[in-house]
Amino acid sequence: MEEIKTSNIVDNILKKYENPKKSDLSKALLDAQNEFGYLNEDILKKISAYIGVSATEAYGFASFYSMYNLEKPGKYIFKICKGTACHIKGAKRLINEIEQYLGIKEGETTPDGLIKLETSSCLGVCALSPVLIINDKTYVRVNSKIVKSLIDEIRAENFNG
Amino acid sequence: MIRIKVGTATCGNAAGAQKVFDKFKELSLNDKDISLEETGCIGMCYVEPIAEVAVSGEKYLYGPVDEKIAELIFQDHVKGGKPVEKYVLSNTSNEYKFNKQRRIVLRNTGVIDPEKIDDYLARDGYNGLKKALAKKPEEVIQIVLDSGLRGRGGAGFPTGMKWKFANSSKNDKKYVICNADEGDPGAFMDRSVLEGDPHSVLEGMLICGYAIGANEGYVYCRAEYPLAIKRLIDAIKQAKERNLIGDNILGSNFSFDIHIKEGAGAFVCGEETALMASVEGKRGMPRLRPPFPAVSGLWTKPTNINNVETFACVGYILSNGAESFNKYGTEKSKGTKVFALAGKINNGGLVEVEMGIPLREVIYDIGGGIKDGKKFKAVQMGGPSGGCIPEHLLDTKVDYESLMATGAIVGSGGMVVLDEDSCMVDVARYFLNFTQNESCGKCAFCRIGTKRMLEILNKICDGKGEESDIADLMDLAAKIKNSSLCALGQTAPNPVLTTLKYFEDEYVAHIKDKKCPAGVCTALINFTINDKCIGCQLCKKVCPVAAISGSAKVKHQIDQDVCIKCGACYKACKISAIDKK
Ligand SMILES: Cc1cc2nc3c(=O)[nH]c(=O)nc-3n(C[C@H](O)[C@H](O)[C@H](O)COP(=O)(O)O)c2cc1C
Ligand code: FES
Repeated sequence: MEEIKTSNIVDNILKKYENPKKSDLSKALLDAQNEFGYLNEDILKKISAYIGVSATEAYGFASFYSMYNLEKPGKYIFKICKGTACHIKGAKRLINEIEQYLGIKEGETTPDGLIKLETSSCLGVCALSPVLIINDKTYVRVNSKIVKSLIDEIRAENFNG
Repeated sequence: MIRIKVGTATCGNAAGAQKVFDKFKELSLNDKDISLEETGCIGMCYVEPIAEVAVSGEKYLYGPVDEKIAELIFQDHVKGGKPVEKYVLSNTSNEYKFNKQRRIVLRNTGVIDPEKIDDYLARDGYNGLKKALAKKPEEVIQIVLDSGLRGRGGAGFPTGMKWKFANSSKNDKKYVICNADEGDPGAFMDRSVLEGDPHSVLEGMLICGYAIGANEGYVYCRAEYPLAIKRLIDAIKQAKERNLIGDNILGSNFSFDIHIKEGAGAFVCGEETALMASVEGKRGMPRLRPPFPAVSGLWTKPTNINNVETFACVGYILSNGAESFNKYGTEKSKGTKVFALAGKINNGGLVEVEMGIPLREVIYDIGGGIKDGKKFKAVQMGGPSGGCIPEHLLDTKVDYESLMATGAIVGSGGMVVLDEDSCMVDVARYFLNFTQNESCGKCAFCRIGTKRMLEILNKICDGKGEESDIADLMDLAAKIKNSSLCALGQTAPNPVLTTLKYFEDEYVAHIKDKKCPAGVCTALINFTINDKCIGCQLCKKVCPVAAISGSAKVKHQIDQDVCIKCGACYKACKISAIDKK
């Protein structure tokens, strides 16, 4: 059932690309990722067949760019910046502390599927470093205390409500 | 009519500008005498959110504003006619004067509403395009050549020359690409221009298209910039409605269309040949040049690729003449350059200065000096391809040649200021880690050589450095520089080379004395409690691993075997009773 649904949604996404070209691959993958949150084998196969490239090539493409998720991510994606400005304002220690607090490493998702911890090489808000983005919301001048309380809030919202 | 503007670029929004905007909206609802607008980044990120109130031509800039202050400003100033002095940053009946700044690229950011094409048109927008269309393409190129404009994406190649090459390539299909990948960590100039004045970039692309004989363009924008992408999409739509993009633009024979391509997060895709591969739907790997893009670029067609800021200068130059640009700057570096000031600096944000200004003036007079009264150590310029400039070179002029002589580069415009608490070996390691991760893997020396360098730097920071390490780093650096195909590898060793050149003593301290003078490398520092301790127990409470013992009012102890060197106690202690050595 689930598979058929996925397949239909992918079909719908692909409809936009009438005469698919190889250069449409990135956008089609992104559209699918925006829909599903990640790209699994089935999705990759379907899109690659439609665009007219091999599934291996589509996989090679998606794994090259850091933007594509090939695994199911958490409900909340924490993106902590470790760019230059954030680095010298202690991003490394911040990441270490968050890792400890969540009990996972960078790139992993908490076992309950709630939070995925990612890092970025610069989120473009360098003057207000350190910077954290949770899903679409940007937090600036954060420290471990602020981030921990954000995590607590998210946990409370999702387990008590 | 009273105008209220709120800066809602990414930095403003992150600091809470949306709430301030909503507050003003709520307060001014149904009031026909008040117009509420959004604008881009005015550059003063350190006092975001920023709002401007203009009453009969007199403008007041406020920041940082929150909902409460917004309410105060609304009651006292907007309604009561009395500015709230306490929060005023600047006031004028004219253009704001920014101390020692000269604004060409940022002429409209923070001034106009980027979502309204009429705002741009009212400030001479698309006038450069109109003037260009009345000239021959070769004349347009001559003006760009005369202006002395050089590429702002990093390499500083003369823009007019590049256009000339693309113009002389014969082909019925050519492309214009705007490089908005902005991959340098610590840099956000391009984002601010795209968010605050998208039409200026589109206008530059159109003029370029006309000059080289292209009718299609792409903006390659990194996907981490969703607001920039949204503003671009809106701007293109509005320009199309005014016949500024599309067929027979403004009644001429010139037709041009612009598409947006989202980058997907690989630093190397900022390199022009990798970028084009990425647009074509391939993995973004650089290829050997020649052939240069001007001969064989996107889908093997002649292509001209320029940076966002480069394009943003072009409309101004065409509208005001080459002289309006080349009267600023030095002999070889003309015009102005935007820099993103960040790190341990008081007034972090975006600044635009005349080329040739001494670094010291940018950091102290504009940037307001170092945070918390600390001591300046270095400024990092040019990101992973650049270097660290030490204090004794602070009078270096900001231009391509002078900066190159220090071992750093102008680069795309990131300036990250480091103070006495930054470890230079750690900074070098940080950049090597970055390039090592971002190397596309095509060239062996870039792929493996950077890894070896990183391993050595890790070793040094972990207190396991050996005396031969410095020579090994130099040797690897030379080899990576000589045997990499693109500038990523060719410049990757620069952060190590400049730190070695100016801060060798810090390397030696790590290697020989097993000390990190800045107190950053955890393996090389110890926290101990000195006799000033009054036993207040603050440190004991914050220690996450219970490494501190001692009863109230008695000097405490840190168990070195348990301590994880997180520094929490050091930060918590109010009487400097904890030493970090
Ligand atoms: C690894 C690497 C990354 C680059 N990243 C960027 C970038 O993010 N933005 C940019 O405009 N140029 C970047 N460049 C430079 C481009 O290759 C190219 O020189 C530039 O876009 C040309 O535009 P300009 O002449 O206007 O500077 C990069 C180069 C290299 C080697
Ligand atoms: S370095 Fe962190 S936002 Fe740029």
